[in-house]
Amino acid sequence: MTWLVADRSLARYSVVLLNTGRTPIDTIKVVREAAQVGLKEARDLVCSSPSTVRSGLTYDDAIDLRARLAASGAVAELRS
Amino acid sequence: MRLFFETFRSNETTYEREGNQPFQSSAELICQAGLAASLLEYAQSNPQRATEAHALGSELAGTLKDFFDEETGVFQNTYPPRGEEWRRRVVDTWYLFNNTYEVLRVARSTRDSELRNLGLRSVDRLIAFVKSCKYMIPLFAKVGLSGALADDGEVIGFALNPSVLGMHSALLVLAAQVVSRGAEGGWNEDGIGLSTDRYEMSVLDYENEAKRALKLLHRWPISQTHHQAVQLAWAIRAADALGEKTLRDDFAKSLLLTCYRQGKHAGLFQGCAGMGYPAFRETVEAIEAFVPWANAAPGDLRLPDLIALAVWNCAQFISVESATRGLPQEGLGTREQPGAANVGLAIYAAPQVFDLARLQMGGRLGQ
Repeated sequence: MTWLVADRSLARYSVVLLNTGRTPIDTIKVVREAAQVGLKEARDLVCSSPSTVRSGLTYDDAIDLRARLAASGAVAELRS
Repeated sequence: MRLFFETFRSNETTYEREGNQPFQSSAELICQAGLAASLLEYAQSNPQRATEAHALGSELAGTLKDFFDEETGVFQNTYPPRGEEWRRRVVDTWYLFNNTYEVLRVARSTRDSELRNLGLRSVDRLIAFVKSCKYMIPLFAKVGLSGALADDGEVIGFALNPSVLGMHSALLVLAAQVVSRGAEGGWNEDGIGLSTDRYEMSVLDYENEAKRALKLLHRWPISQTHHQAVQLAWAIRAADALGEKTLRDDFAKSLLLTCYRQGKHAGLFQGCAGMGYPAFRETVEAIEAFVPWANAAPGDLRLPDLIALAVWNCAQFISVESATRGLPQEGLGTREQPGAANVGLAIYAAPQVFDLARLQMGGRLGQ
């Protein structure tokens, strides 16, 4: 029997911000840089969580973004 | 030369171009149009700096048409065309109203009829958009294709931003001013003037729609209307221009809930509901909304005192570093959010530096 193994290098993921921690300013900075948007828009994304910060990312990039959001005190998850 | 301002840069997270990669940054209309409008109006108030302010404002004004999206009929915030708003037509809704307002301000100053007509097309689209939302404007939404509005106002996420109705109302008041008979002269028409039915009927239509928007905003619980101070500030401006004093005073009382009253932050306004720090752009927008009627305001609002405090304390936002002298910082550190002092320079708030200067030059702040 041949098992079909999902190739993570081909899959694309979205990173969804679920909620911010006690330092929303740090989260806004991460979101602004990751989504390449202005401060106000980044703030609106954070205010309206759950919100998609980035989509179409590789697995490694998505994991990296989730880690940066976590370091800012936020909770985020990957969605495929 | 075509001059574009990049999106916001933080002191700490400015990124460098990597190798030979093309520069991936974007320009924002909120900076381009806001700076153009404020510089052009500042030039009229300060003869000593009029030439350079007008030259820079005109240069920026020349870029604004690039942001108009023929497919949706509105001005998008970013340029070059890429990103969510261009690809998926997903927008942060208040940008649509803010930016169209600034574009019409520029058209009014430059008498550029082509820009005015694009602005009025955008106004008409936004009236349809607001109706599609049933006057409950989401924070993020889809914009339908012009002429096929099936997904117009489709909510993205769950959050609402009801006080965008205040911006909508202010935009309609400005549109009414721009198309009124009195604003007719001096436009560079070049065969693209307003059609005759754009005049008297549009003025009434715009003003009636503006009043409807304000009355519907007035119904919302106060806690739902504080997403950003600028939105209530524009509601106050519109209500004052339309002679709706009860609405104006109620919106003012609501906006004052976001004003700091003590210590070095007295008179400054919060950047965003619950963010816990005062912001420069929001403070200047609030002051500008209060100035025309402050002396006639109910005494318990104490607007003249508050304006004087705000102007004085605004100096804390302005950078004194040699490389960035005169640019506003986004926020000031507070007990709740000490990091707010380090968010960075707010390029999108630079127009308000000129607005504040214009108000002072005009002697309207009693300074």
